[in-house]
Amino acid sequence: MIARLVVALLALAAFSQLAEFGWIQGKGLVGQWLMASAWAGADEDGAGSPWPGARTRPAARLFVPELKLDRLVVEGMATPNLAWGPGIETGPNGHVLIAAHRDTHFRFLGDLEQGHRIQLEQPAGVIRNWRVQESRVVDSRTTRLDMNAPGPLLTLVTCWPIDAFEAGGPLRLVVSAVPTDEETS
Amino acid sequence: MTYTRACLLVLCFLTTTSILQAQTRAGLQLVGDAGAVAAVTQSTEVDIRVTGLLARTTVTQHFTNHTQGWAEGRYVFPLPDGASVDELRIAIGERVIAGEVREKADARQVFEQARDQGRTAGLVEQHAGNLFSTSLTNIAPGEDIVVTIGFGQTVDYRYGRFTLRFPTTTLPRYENGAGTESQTLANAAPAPAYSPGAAPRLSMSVALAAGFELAGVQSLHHPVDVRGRGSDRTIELAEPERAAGKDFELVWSARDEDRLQGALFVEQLRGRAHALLMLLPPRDFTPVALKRELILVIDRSGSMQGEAFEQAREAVRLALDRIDHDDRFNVIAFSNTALPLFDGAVAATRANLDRAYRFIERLDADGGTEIDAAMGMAMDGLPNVGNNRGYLRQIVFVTDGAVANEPQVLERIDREIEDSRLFAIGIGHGVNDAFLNRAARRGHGTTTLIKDPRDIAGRMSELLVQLESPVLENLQIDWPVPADTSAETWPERMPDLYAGQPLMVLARLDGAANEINRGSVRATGFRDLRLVEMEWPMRDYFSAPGVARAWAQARIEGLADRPKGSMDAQLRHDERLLTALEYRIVSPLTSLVAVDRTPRRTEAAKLQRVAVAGAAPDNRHPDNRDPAALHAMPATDAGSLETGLRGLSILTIVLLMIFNRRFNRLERSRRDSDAGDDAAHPGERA
Repeated sequence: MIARLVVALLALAAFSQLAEFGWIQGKGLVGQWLMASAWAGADEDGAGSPWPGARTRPAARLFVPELKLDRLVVEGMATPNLAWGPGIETGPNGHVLIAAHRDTHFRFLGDLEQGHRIQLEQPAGVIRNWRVQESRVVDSRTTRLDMNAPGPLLTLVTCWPIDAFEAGGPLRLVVSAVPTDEETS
Repeated sequence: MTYTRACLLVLCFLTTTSILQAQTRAGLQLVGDAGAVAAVTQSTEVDIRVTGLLARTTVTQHFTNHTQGWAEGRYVFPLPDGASVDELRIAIGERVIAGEVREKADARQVFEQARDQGRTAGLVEQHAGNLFSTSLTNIAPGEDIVVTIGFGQTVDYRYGRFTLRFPTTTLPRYENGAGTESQTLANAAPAPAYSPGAAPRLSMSVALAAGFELAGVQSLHHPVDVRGRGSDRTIELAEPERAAGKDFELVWSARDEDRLQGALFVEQLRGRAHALLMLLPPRDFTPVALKRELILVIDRSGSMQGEAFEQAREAVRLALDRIDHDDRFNVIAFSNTALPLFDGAVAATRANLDRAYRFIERLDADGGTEIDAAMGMAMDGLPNVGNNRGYLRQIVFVTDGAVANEPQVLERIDREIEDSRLFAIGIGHGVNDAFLNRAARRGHGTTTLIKDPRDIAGRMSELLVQLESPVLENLQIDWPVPADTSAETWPERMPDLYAGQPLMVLARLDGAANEINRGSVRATGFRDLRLVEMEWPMRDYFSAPGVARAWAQARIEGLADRPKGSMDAQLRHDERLLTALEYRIVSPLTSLVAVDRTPRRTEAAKLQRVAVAGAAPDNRHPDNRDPAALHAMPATDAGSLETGLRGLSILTIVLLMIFNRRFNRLERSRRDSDAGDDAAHPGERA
C-alpha cells in the first residue's frame, strides 16, 4: 500500500515537473508566434499589443543569418516579459542590451562566433547590421552592465553554462557586437 | 523496499538545486566601459564637537585629480537628518575661498559661469531626503583641493541614551515612472556613485562635552579610541581605512540619569533669543490595557537584500511575539506590489499568528520599493476590514526608505492617516532617515533606527513598550514672553510623547535673552485624561551657538511638513527661502557656492566631468552596490531544463518501481504456483 502511494506521489511529482517544463517552453514558442502578427502590423510608433492585456509588446526583430535564427524581442527585462521573448533595453548613449533565457530563446548564444553577423530590425523596418566582436563568460556577482557606455554597442546576455542542470547559477555569457555599416532598410 | 529508499535518495539529490557560493567582495567590472580608472578621488575627515545637545561638525573633503587634464567632480553624500549646512570653504594651495548662500538656481548659475570662465568653483546642494552633493570644477591636473563644509545638528536623546549619528553611506533610491513625475527636477536625488575598489578613507574625531558626569561612551559600529574623564571625552576612529560603509553612531549616557530633568540652550542672534528646550516627562507610567490593531508592513524590495532583510524579518517576528490575544493584526509585505497576509486585520489567534510567522519566513527580498501602495493599504484598511472602532490602530513600517517618490508618499500619509499612528523602523546602514522621520512625524509616531543585528532585540523592545504605553497628548508650551510679543515654536504642533522620549522644542522669542530670563517655560499635556505639567526656569540656560540655525532648519522643514492646501504654495516657498537666506543655511531651496577670483584654465584645455565615488552600504547584497546607470546582470534562466530533467528522472524512477513491482508480483505468483503444484502433488516426491 505504502509502495503504491510512493509510486503515485512520485508520478505526480514527475508530471508537475514536466508540465512546468512544457509551460516554460510553450510560453516561449507561443509568445513568439502570437507576437508575429503584432509585429507584422508595426509602424513608426512601434508594434501593437500582441494579445489582449499583454504587459509587453515586440520591440525589435533579431536575425542571425549564419545560424538561421529569427527572434522577436520584447520591451523590458523583467522576468515575466522574458518568458515570451528576449528582452531589450537601450542606454542613453546607444548601448543596446538584449537578454534572454538560456533554455529558450538564447539557447544558440554559445554557438555565436567572432565575425558572425547579427541584424536588428526596428519596428519601422530599419535594419542595423552588427558583427560579433567577442564572447566572454563573466560572474554576475562581480560584473555589471554599464547602460551609460558610449554606443553604438550591442550586448547579448544569457546564463552560462547553456545546458547546466542547476538553474540560477551566477555565470553569464556576454556577447558584444559592433555595428558594421550604416542603417539599411 | 530498498528500491524506495534508493529513489528517495536520488530525489533528495535532485531537489538540492543550488550550492551557496561565497559572496565575493572584489571590485566591480563594467561591461561596455572603456577601462576607465577613477579620475577624481575623494577622502573625508570629520571633526565633531558636541556641547550638551548640540553638535557642530566640520567635514573636510579632499578631491584629487589623477588625470592629465582638468576635471570636474561631483560627490554625493548623506548628512544627518536636520543638518543645517552654513559653511563652505575651498582651499587651493595657500588660497582659501569662502562660500555664500544663494537661491538654488542662482548658485548653480554662478557655478556654471565660473566653470565656463575657467575659474575653480565649488557648490554644495541639498537634494531629497538626507542627500547632499559637492560639485567642484576646474581642478588642475594632479591637483588636490580641500573642501570644508560646516553644519550644526542636534543630538538624539531617548531612553536615557544620547545618540550622535553620522551617515557614511547611501543606498541608491528606487525610482519608478510614477514617482518621478511629482518631483521637480531640482529636487531629484542624484544617484550616489560607488568606487570599484576599496571605499574612500574616512577619518573622524569627536570632542564630547556632555555637561554631566558620563557613565559610558560607546561607538556602536566602529572600533574607536576614547580618551578623557569626567564629562569630557575625545573619540577617534581606530581604523579610518575601513570606516566608510557603516554609519557612525556614538552613544553616551549620564551617570545619574534620574537627576536629568531637562536643559535649555539659548543663542542670541540679531537681538532675538533662540531657544532649544529639552524636558523629560515624569516617569510614572502605568501601562494601560489598550486593545490594538497592529499593522506590520515589511519592505522586501531588492535594496533590502542580504543581512538587512534578515533584520527586518526578525523585527517583525519580535513584534508578532508581543501581540496580545485581544489584539487584531495584519502583515503586509511589499516590493513592486503590496502583498497582504490577510484581507483585513484579524484576531490574534494562535492559528493566525502561526500563519503570520510562516508568511514572514517564506518572504525573500527582490524588486522595487513601491512604498506608496503598501502605505495606502496599511492606512486605509483593506476591503474586508471589519469594524476597528475601539482599537488603537498602529502601523509599523519596516523599511530602508530607499524611495525616490517621497513627496507622494508623505502626501498620502497626510491625507489618510486619520487616527492611525505610524511608526517607522529604519533597517541597516545607508538608510534614508530624513524620509522616515518625516513620515513618522506626519503619522504621529516615532522612528527607530536599527543598524546592527545586535541592536534588534533592544530597539524593538523599546518600540514595543512605546506601542503599549500611554502617550502624553495635546502638549502645549508657554514661553514667558512679555504680553505684546510672541514666540515662534517649531514644531508648531507638538507631537505626542511616548514613554522614554523627551520633549524637544525650538523657539524664537521676540526679545533678547536678558529681557526674558524671568519666569519659566511651562509644558502641559494629558496622559490618560490627567493633566501633566513640566517646568523649566528661563534663567537656567546655557549659551550655545547653533541654536538659531537649528531653529531656522526646523522652520524650513516644518513649513514643508504643513499639509498641502493649508497654506498658499507661493507663500510657503517664499517663507522657506527667506528663512534659509536670512540664516544662511543650505536647504532644498538654497545652496552654498564659492568661486575663485582668478581664472586658471584656458579655453583650449578641455574639462572632463566625473562622478566621485563614495562608500557602498556594508550590509547589503553586492547586487545593490551599483549606481543607477549600472545594470545588474538580468536573470536569464527560466529553469525549464532543471524541471524538465528532474521530471524525466522522477518518471524513470516511477517506471522502474512499477516494473519492479510487476516483476516481483510475477516472480511471486510463479513461485506460488510452483509451491501450489508441490502441495497438490505431495505424494510424487515421496
